[in-house]
Amino acid sequence: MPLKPHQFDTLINKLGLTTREGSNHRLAWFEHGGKVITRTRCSRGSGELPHSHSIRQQLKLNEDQLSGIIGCSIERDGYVEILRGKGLIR
Amino acid sequence: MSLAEAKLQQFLEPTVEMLLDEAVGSEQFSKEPLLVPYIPTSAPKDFYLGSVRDARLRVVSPLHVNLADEDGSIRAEATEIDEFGFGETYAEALSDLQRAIAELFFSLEEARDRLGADLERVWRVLQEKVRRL
Repeated sequence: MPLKPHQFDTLINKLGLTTREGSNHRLAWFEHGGKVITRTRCSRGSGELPHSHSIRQQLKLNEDQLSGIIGCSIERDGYVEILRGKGLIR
Repeated sequence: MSLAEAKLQQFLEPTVEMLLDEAVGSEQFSKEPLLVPYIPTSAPKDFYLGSVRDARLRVVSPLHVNLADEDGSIRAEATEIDEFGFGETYAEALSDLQRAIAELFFSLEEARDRLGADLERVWRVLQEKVRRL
C-alpha cells in the first residue's frame, strides 16, 4: 500500500508520534510509558512515498494494520495492543 | 578470515578478474584466444558498508546492506538495524542510508536511557559497529 505524505501525517496524528526535522527527512518516534518503542522517517516531497513498506516495517505493522490506522479503524490504543502482542511493550 | 572479510573478498574478486581479462585482451599480450571476460550485469544485492560519511562517526565493523528495487526506486536496507535509504540510483540510495544511520545513531544515543526492547537491540548493534570519534 503506497503512502501519500498526508497519510504519513495521519499516522503521526493517530499514533501521537513525536517528530523532529532531520537533514532531509522528518523523523517520527512512538513513545509509550516513558520509553521510545518504534521509530520511522519520511522523506520530504510530494507524491507517493516510495518507501511505504519500510515505514510499515519500522512501525512493526502489517498491511492490514497500516490500512486500519490510515482508515481510522485503529487508534493509538489499538497500536499499543499490536506492539504489546509482539512483545515490544510490556 | 572473518565473515565480513570473506564477503568483501567475494565482492572484490570479479573486479580483479575484469582487470586481468582486460590486460590479457590488450595488444601487448599474446594473440591466444581471449578468456571470456567477467561482465557484471547488476550491482551486488548484498554487501557490507564500511562508512557512514559523517566526520563524527567511524564504522568499526561493517554493516550488512541489501539492495532491492522497490516501487520504481532503489532501496538500501541495513538489515541488522532495520534502517533504510532510498534513491533513483544505487549511489543515491546508499548515500541516503548512510545519512539515516548517522541520524539514527545520534537519536538513539540521545534517548539511550529510555529505549524500548527493539530499539535497545538496535542501539546495541549500532554501538558494536559504529563509534564516535
